[in-house]
Formats: sequence, structure tokens, C-alpha cells
Amino acid sequence: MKTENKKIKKKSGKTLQTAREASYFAKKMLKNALQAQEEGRPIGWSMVTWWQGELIARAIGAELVFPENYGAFCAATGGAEKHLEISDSEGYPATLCGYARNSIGYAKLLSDNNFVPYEGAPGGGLAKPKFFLASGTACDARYKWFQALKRYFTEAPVWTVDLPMPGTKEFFYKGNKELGLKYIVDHLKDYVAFLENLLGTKLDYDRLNEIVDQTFKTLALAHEVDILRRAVPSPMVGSDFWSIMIPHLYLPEDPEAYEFYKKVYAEVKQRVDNKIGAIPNEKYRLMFAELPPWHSLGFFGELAEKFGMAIVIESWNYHAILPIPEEEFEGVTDPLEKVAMLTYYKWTEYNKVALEYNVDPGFFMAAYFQFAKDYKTDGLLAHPLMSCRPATYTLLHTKNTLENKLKIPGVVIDGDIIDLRVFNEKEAFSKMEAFVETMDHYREERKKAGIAW
Amino acid sequence: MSFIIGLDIGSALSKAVIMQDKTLLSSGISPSEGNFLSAINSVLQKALGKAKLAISDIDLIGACGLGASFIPHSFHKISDISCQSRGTSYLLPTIRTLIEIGNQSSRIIQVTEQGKVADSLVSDKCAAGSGRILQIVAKVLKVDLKDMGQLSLKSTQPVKFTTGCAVFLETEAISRVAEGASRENIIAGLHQALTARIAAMAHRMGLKEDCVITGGGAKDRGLVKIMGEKMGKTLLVPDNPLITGAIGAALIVTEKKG
Repeated sequence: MKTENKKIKKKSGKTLQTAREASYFAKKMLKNALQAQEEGRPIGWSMVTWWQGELIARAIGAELVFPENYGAFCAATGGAEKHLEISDSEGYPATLCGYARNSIGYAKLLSDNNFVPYEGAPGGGLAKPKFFLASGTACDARYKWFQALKRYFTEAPVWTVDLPMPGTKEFFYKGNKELGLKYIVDHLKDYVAFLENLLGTKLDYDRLNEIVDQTFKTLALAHEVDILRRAVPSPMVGSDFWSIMIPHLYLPEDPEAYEFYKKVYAEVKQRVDNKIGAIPNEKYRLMFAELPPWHSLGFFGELAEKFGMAIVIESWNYHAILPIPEEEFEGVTDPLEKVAMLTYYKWTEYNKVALEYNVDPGFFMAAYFQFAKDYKTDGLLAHPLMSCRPATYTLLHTKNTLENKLKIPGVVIDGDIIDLRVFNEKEAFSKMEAFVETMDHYREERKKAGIAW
Repeated sequence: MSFIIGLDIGSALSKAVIMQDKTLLSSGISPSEGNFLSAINSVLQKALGKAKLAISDIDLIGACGLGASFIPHSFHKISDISCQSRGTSYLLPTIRTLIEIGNQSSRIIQVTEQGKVADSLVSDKCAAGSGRILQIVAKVLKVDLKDMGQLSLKSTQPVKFTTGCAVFLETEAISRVAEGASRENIIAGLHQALTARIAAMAHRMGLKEDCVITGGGAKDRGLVKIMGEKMGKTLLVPDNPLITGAIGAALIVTEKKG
């Protein structure tokens, strides 16, 4: 008798060389901010605003760091637990967003240490903010998170950028798009005035134009990589994406990010051309919904090794925007309007699909229906996050609707982005093992229903 | 002909079966009592003894359950969900929905004609949603676990529990005893509370007939009756609802390695 009950060996799950190099960008952001602090330049703590606020802040000369990215960084390097415990002891509930708890714990330490990052802080730590750039997009908790951080940085103001997020049918009301874009542009003008007043300098609109153009260029290339990923076998997997996402989501205006994506594209294209799969023996192609357990990314490597499961595409909102048709830019010269278009189109890009499948909210659900077809998927791995309400209230509905309408089954693995105490890897692995049978069953169901893949 | 052992090493009970050519030869059950190794040795001894075999006669071992890693012989670990599905289907081939009430969790599994998992839902790790709460309240009421079903069936006015947490549920049971509620009514109220949680999962999954109930909870006739009423279904119970996981482990390991 042979034994299979050996201890699970951990692997990063990354298969691309470029993915292994991508942490450079996370470190670069942290390093640049610490450098700016030394030089007396302004630093902003920013949420992901889908480029709505970041590009303008950078054009006016601020260095940005992202507590969300830092949360993932801390979790992946084993540095989050300390921050979570401090957040708990400050009286914040353990059910708050894991990213928020991590940053609160870190902020308390920074404030207690006279705003010098503590020794051994992951990546050297986040430098002291001059301002906070918040966003209500995607998640209600984000409205309050940075306000709470002000407890530790009383002189740093919070600016929240806002985005209209219409329902599926409402989006198609006549004039809705124009009104939405006007709302954003008006709002951005106020934001520019806020930054100019705070930093005592004027926004250079030529510089903003350059930044916006570079951003579109980088995002277009990142999208080309997404298209390459439709190949069977999949040339890269989720563990690769979560690394290469950093430059296009956080630093798209950086020419280095564009150069990096050229390398990613070449590496992925080479695999596609030669029919090389990211994992050997790909048997099941999965979509992944929501953010991953950053502390346990090796889990996905184990799924690949043991069951031939490849995560072929992930949560839509972290991917580059679909290309905006050229004609939409006709007559648009104001870079603020281009910024508005970028974010607005990103959040409404799958509304046609949402209408086709009659799903709401379209922005959180519809992309999976398109992905299922484009990427020929066998299943959805849904990861509702203990501390993330938006992830929780749409995921089960998405899972059930995919099963009903496209006969794509889903499996739910509970966990958290930061808090490893709520992720039971053994139980998750057992569920995935059983899910193999479920995917086999639905393959037959799709055949019977005449669904193409 | 190969002899195959199937083991299901659970947190409350350890179960073993021996199969030959997909025929069940023998089975054994022992309490795990916090010592998995001792429970495994005990349950193996029982099953091997009944089949008049020695461990050296065995060709393959398939296993599932929380304590499987303590098995002192070479074995193949298999998902609990798949084992329950396959083993229950072996005993009752017409079943399409399986409700398993175990000590650690409750599961709803949709089963294909071949006994494979079409879909599944597992309760949160929560004592109030699993068979564990039955043990907790049995202790409070000083009632033998195996008598709870009979007592529940005699209830005339089940008490209403207001909490979804096992710790508070235990406290509430103590309060109801102090208020003079009968054991029968407390147990029936407990069955209703447990049923409400599992029924919510079952409705999410959808109940395709035939429906079956397994695990320790299936031994409780009162719980089975209340659950069937709440779900509006006749719930089948296998002759031995505790060994379905072990049977599934033996069958799956045979398919994979036999």
C-alpha cells in the first residue's frame, strides 16, 4: 500500500518569472514614500479608487501608498497578525475589514513611535501621511475607514472621491452616462482645488495628460494579457495574476509598469504559442471570485498539483479596463474628463452582460458570466471574506445564478484576506476535493443542455 | 479477491468497514474519546475480528474524517463529502439529497445517480448547527443520548430557544429546567432549533427526492421526525447511518487504486 497522507508542502503557486519579479513595484511604492518623507515631499495614503483620484494626486507631486496593498503585503509576509492584535486592543471589532484592521494597528504603532516606522515593519513600513484619499466605490466600509485613521494623524485631512454606480437597467436610461460623467468631473474639480490648497501648488494639466495617456497605454497592454489567458491550457494562473496586478492597479502611470507589462506579455505569449500550460496536466478551469487569502496563497498551488485545477481568471474589479471605443474620446481634451471616463467605464463595462442575464448588481456579478464563456471555465471558487460585506452579499447569489443559467457550479471557501484565523485550509482542501465530482457532473449537464464548453 | 478497509475517524465516533468486491463484510464503531489512535486500533480490531481477518490480509485502506491522520497504516485520504455521498448511495441507490448531521458539522449533499457529489453545502463550524449540541444538552438534562429521540416524540409543547449559539443554548436549557419545563419539551425545542438551521441550508441547496439523513443525528428519531415535517419530505434512514462515510471511503479507494 502506498501512502498519500504526507504533509502538504507549501509552494507560492506563481508560475511566471515576471510574477516573481512583480513585488518590486510594491516595494518601490513604500520606498518612494519613505524617501519623500525624508525630503519633505507630501505623501498620501490612498485607497484603490480605480485611478479616479490617484492619477491627479501623482500629477500634483504627491507620493502615494496604499493601505490595502500594504495589508496584502503584511499578510503575505507574516507581518499582519501584530497589527490585527493592536487593532483589537484599540477596540475595533474583529469583523471589520482586514485591510482596515491591519492599517489601524500599523497607524497606532507609527503614531506611538513619533511617526517613524517601527523597526522590522514589513517593507520598511508606510510613511506618515499628509492626506488621505478615500473612495466609497465597491465597499461601504471604505467611507469610514480613513476617517477612523485620522485618530492617529489628526492633521491629515480625508478626501473621498465618489462614483455613481447605477443599477443594471438604470444605467441604460437616456442621458444617464452623460450625467454620471459630468458628476464625476465636477467632483474632480473640487478634489483638484482641495489638493492645490493643501499642498500649496497648482496642478500641471499637461503633466496630468501625460500621466493619463501612459495609464491608458499600460492598461491596454494588461488587458491584452487577459485576452491571452483565454488559451487552453491556461498560460498563467491566479497566483501569477495577484502579483502582476500591482503595477496596473497601483502604478499604471509609471513607465516602468508599462515596460514590465511588455515582459509579462512576451512571457505569456510564448507559452500560448507553444501550448504550454501554467500548471502541468490542467484538468479543471476555475474562476476565482473576490480577494484571495493572502496569507495562504500556496493553497492554490496545492489545488493545481493535486487536482489539476487552474485559476484561469479572477475577480473582474482588479483587472485592467476593457478598451474604450475610440469614438468615445472624440472632442475630449480635458484630462479630468478622461480620468472620469476611465473609472466610470471600468465600473459599468459589463452592464450589457448584466442586462442579458438579468443580474444586479451588474458590476459585481456580470463579468463572471462573460468570463465563464470566454475562458471556458468548469467552476467558480467563491471566497467570501469574513470581514467584507460586498464580497459576501453578492457571491452566493452569483454562484447560484451561474449554476442556474450556465450550469457552472460553484464552491464556497470561507476565509479572510488578512486574518488567517478564519481560514481552515484542511477543510477547504476537503471541499475542493469533493468539488471535482461536482464539476464532472456539471460538465455532463452542460453537454445535455447544449452549452458549448 | 482484495480486502478493503474504509475508515471514518470522526471527532465523536470512529467507524470501520471491511469490503470485498463491493460487498460489505463487517463493520465496527468505537467512541473516539479524544484519543484517535486508540479508537482506530479498537475499531479495526472489531471489524477485522468480525470478518476473521488480520491487518496483513488487507490490500487497501481508504479513510476520511478529522482523525484520519492518526491512522498507523498506509492509507489514502478521501474527502468526507465524497465518502458520505458514495457510501450512502451504496446503501440507498435512489437517494438524491443527503443530510448528514455529524458531531463537527452538518452537510447537505446532492448526489448523482452514480453516487457522486453534484453539489454540497457544509455548515459553519458551529456546535449549534451540528450534532454536538445534542450531546451538550443531553448532559444538561442527564439523559442518555440514545433516549433523546423517544423523549422528544412525547413532547406536547416544545420550548422555544431564542439563541443560535451553543454556549447560550446550553445556558437557556438550564434556565428552562429551572422554570420547570419537562425534558421532553426541552429536547423537542432543541430539535426544532437545530432543524431550523439545517433546513435553511437544505432550502438553499434544494431538496431533490429521495432524501436521506445520516450521521449521529439520524439515530435520533425525534430529530428525524421534526426535520421531515419542517422540510416537508420523508427522510429515509439507512439501517446503520453511522458507517456511510466508511463505506464510501472503501468504495472510492477501490475505484482509485483497485
